[in-house]
Amino acid sequence: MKQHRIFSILAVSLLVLVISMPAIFAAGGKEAQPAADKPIALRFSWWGADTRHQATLEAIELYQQRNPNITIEGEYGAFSNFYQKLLTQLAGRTAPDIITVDYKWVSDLMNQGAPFVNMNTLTGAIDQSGFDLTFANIYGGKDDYLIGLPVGLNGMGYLYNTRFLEKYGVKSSDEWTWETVIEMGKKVQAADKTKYLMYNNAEHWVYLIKTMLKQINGNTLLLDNYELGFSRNEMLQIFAYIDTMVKTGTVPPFNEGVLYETVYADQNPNWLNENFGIFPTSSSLIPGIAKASNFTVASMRYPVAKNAKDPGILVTPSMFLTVYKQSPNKEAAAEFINFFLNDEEAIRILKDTRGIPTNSKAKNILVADNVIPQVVSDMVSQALTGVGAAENGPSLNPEVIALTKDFVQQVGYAKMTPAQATDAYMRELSALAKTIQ
Amino acid sequence: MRHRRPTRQLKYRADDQRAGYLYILPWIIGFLAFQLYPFLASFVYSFTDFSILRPMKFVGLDNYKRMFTSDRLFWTSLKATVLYVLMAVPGKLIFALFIAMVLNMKLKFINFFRTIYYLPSILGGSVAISILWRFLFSRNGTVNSFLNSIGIGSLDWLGSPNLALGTMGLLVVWQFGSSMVLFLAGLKNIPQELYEAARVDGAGRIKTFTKITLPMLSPVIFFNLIMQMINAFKEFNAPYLITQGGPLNSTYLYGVMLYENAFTYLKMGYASAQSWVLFSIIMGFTALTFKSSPYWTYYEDGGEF
Repeated sequence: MKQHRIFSILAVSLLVLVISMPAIFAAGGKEAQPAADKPIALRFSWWGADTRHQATLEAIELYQQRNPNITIEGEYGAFSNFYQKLLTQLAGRTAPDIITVDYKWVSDLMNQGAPFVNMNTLTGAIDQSGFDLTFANIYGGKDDYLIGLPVGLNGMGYLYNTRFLEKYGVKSSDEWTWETVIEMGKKVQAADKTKYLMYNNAEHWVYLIKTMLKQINGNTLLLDNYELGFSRNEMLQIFAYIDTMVKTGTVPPFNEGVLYETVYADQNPNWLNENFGIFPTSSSLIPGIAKASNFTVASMRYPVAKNAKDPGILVTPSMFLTVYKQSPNKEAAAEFINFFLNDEEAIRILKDTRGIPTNSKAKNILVADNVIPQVVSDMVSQALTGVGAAENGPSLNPEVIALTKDFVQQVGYAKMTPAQATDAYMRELSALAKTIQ
Repeated sequence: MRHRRPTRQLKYRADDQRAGYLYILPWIIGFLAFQLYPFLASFVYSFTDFSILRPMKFVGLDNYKRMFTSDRLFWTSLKATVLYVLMAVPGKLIFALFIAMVLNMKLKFINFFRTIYYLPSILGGSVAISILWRFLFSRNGTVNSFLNSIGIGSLDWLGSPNLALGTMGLLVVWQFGSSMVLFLAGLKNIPQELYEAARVDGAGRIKTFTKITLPMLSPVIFFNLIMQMINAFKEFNAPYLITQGGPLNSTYLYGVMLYENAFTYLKMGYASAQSWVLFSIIMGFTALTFKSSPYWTYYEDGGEF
C-alpha cells in the first residue's frame, strides 16, 4: 500500500514538474541576463523565389553579426499559400514579428481589425524619409493608419523571350494594342500550330479583365459602394476578347495550360521549352524567371487600347513590411526593418530581389552601382508611362477574384459563350457583392 | 500467495485506478483540448459569422440556409465529392484485394514484395507525390509519352474537366497499402481446409473466390469500406495540391471548399457549418453501411462478439 502511494505521489510531482518546466526555465532565463543585450528572437516571414530567399538570408546574417543578441528566424516559401498561413497564424496569435504583406490583402486585413502596428507611429525607429508616402497610403493606408512600408515598386508588363519573338517575326514595341496581340498570335500559329504567342496564368486573366475595363470606362470591377463597375456591353466586350484569344490560338487551349495556372513562368515547362513567347508579369518576378530561362528576356509595355479612358496599367507596391501588433519585441522588429530598408550594406545585398526599391535612397544606390537589370527597370518605366487608377478593396476581395477566374474558365473551356458568361457573371457578382459588404 | 489475500487486492484497486488515470492524463488532456473542444467550438461557430479576427455575431441558421440555397459552388462540390467517393473507394478496395491475393501466394522474397507494395501508402499524402503526379499526367508527361509510343494520342489527364477527377482517383487507388495489409491478414485467417474441401468437390478458382474467399473476408471488406469511405469524403491533399480544385471546379472536393471558405475567404463560421454538414453526410453513409452489413457480412461467431 505504501509503495503505491509513493508511486502516485511520485507520478503527480513528476507531472507538476513537467508542466511547470517551461515556466521555470523562462523565469530563470529572464533573471540571468542583463536587460541591455538580452537575447531577442525575431521571426520574419516573406515569400518569393530562390534569389530573394538567398539575398534575404544573407542580409539577416549580416544583421545578426552586428547585433549578436538578436537572432532572426526566416519563415519563407512560395506565394501561393502564404496568405492562408498568415491568417492561421494571426488567428492563433502566433504570427511572426515582421510580416510581409501583399497590397491585395490590405483591405481584407484592415477589415479584420488591422493586426499590424501603425507605421506612422514608428517614424522614430524607421527612417521613412526616402519613401513616397502618398504612394504608400494609396495601397496601404486608411485615414491616419499605414499598414507598413512598401518595399518595392511593381509594374505590369509583357516579359518576352527575344529569340522566340524573332523566330516568328513578332516585332516588340511599346505601342501594342489588344488587336496587335491577336494579330501576332495568329502569326505564330500560322508558322507553327504547336506554338503560342503567350500564356496567361489564372491570376493574370483577372488583371487582363481589370485593365481592359479601366481602359474602356475607367472603373474597377466593383465600385467603392459595391455596385458593378461595368455595363453588360462592356463586360461582353472583354469576355469576347478572351474567347478570341483562345480561338485564334494566341494562348494555348485551356486543357493544356490549366496545369500551370497557379505558377509563374519559371515553373512553367512550356515557357522554359519555348512553346510560348510572352508571359505577362509584374516586374518583381523577373529576376526569378530570368534566372530559370536559358534565353534572353526583355520587356515591352502592356497593351493599351486606342482612345483608352485610363491606360490602366497596374503599378503597385510589390509588398509591405509590417510589424505584428502582438509582437513582444516591436522595437527590435522596427529596428530590423530600418536596417533592411535603409542600411547601405543591406541594400547592396538585397538589390532588386523585391522589385525596384520604393525607398529613393536605396534606389539611388542600386542605380549608381548599376545592379538593377535592364529588363526590370524597363518594365517599371514602361508601366509608369500608363499608370492606371488604383484598385479598391471590393475589387481585390479574394472571392471576387475567384469568381472572376471561374468565369474566365467557363469562356476558355467554351462551356459558355461570352454572352452567357457575361450574364451569369453579372448575376453572381451582384449576389456576391451583397455578402461581402 | 495471491489468492490468499483477496480483500487487500480489492483495496488496492481504488488507488490503482487513480494512478491509471494519471498515466492516461496526457491523452485525456490532448483529447479534451485538441479534439472535444474544437469539435464543440465548431458547432457553436457554425451559427455565427465568425471570421478570423473580428468579434463574432450569432446569425442563427443563416449559414446553413446560404449553403443549401445560394452558394453557387456547394452543390457542384458535393456532386464532385460523391462521384469521387464512388470511384475511389471501390477502385481502391478492389485493387488492394487483388494485390493482397497476389502477396498471399507462396513466392520467393515475399516479405520484400510486401514492403515494396506498402511504400506508396507511406509516401501517400505527401506533397512530393502530388507533384510527381502532376508530372506523370501533364501534357508532356510520362503517361502521355507511353500512350504516344503505343500509338494512342495524348490526353489532358488533369487539364480536361472530364478526366481530372478520375486521374486524381487513381492517385488514391495507388495508395492501397493499409487496406491491402488488412486484406492480407484476413486472407491468412481463412482456414485452408475450406479451400481443400472445395478443391475435392471440384470447385474452380472463381467459385472458390466467390463462395469462400469473399464471404470469409466480408468483415474485413466491411471495415475497409467504412474507413476508406470516410477518408475519401475528407480528401483534401490531392485536389488541393494537384489541381487546386480546377479545371472548371471539377475537382473542387468538399475538403477544398471548406478550406477555401475558412482560410482564403475568412468565413470561419460558414466553414464550420459546412464541416458539420459533411460530418452528417459521413455519419449517414456510415450508418447505411452498418445497417446493410447483416445482409452481406459473415462472422464465424455469428456477429455476437
